[in-house]
Amino acid sequence: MLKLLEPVAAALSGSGCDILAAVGRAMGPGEAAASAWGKVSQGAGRRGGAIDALDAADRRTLDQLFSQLGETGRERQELLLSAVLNTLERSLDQARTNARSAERLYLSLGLLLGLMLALIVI
Amino acid sequence: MESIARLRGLLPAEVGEALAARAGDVRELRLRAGRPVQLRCASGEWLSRAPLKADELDRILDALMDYSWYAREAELREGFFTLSDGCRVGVCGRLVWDGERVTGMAEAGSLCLRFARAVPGCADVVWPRLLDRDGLPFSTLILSPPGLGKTTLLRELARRLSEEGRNVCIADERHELAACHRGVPTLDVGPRTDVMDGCPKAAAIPRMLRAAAPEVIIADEIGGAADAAALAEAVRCGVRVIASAHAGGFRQLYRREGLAGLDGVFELGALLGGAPGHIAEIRKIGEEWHAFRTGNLRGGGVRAVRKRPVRLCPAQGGDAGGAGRGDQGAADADAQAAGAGGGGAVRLGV
Repeated sequence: MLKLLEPVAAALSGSGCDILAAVGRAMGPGEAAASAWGKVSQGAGRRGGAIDALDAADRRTLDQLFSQLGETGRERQELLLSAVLNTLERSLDQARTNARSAERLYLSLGLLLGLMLALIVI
Repeated sequence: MESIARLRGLLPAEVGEALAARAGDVRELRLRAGRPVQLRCASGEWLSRAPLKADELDRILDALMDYSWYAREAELREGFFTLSDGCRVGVCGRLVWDGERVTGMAEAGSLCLRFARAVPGCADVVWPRLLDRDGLPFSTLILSPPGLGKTTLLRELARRLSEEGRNVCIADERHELAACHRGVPTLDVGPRTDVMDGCPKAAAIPRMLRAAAPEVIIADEIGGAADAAALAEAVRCGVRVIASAHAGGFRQLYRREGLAGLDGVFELGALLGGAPGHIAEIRKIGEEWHAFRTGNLRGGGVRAVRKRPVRLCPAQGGDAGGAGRGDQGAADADAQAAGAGGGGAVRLGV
């Protein structure tokens, strides 16, 4: 079957990503992407939820995406999606950098603690 | 109907209830920002007390488009889109024009929803007259102003021909004839019917000829030279075609420059008029169309008819084109032409 130009709800539902599929399922008559995202993100943002790990900036980016998803023509939607993708890629790079710093920090702390433990025990 | 159930939840309560109460015979729902909502039914008209607010219209339009403007963009440029059950949503508003073509629609000011419905038996009157000795239909053009049942009649003819064992192909550019959802017709168009939808008829017809070996091709609302050329080619390939076009009478049809390429393509013309679904007249149009175009048809300032126009069904006082919303001048000219042919026709009342 042709999948081109599917409506937002069908595209999200078939995305293979749990959180996006949940938004797609939540959309319906009288329920645009923005309000469906609002409902889904409330539950998924709780402690231990699917998007609990996202920081405030990431969530704002996603709020912005869903507020405009499906609301304009194809060209503007492509611009929106590429802008959001760029922002998320920058966030991912930042998170990787932070992770490497944190990795070095924890490695140093671990070595120091091990050394201290060795000194105390010996 | 799916559209009616869906609309009921989107419309203001007063309108939703009125629509549900008239679900059986509603034909059109018209929504205009700042104006009362209008329901046009077979039994009459209903107007809401309260006007529809502009933001309500926007909300309804967004919901009807599944909150997916991008997916409807190409259709909106043409002024309409079609819901999954074949209901056509016409959209009027501010178009974006780049100097050469419409590139989009900036704002919507009103919607006209036309509900598609199958009417089994609506082709009973025309059916025996459309078939030749071999049981194949004559190539036939169905005419009327908008809203008199051309599409419904075409759908019923597709179903009947298909049930009679003919391989039928439908070029369903506007998704109204078969209302396909994911390639599968949701309206009954018969067991031996294939549908190509969502693309211009001029593109669909050659592909159907190659892909589906049709005996009959059916197309709705022929509107331009490209459509006409594709149909003419199908007829030259030995396929019968049944199509519809907007025209208030036969003369108006012959005058449509965009359809000049259809001269010689159709054997019969069926004119709807008077009321939705009523067959006002069936006429052999092949020779008459050609005579009109070559200036040999009497009436309207052209020369006398060389051959008498043959009517399968006759008129009671003038051309049935006037029965619809056609111009009276054309109707009078048609009546004159009928007189030249000696009359003797048979009017089909439905």
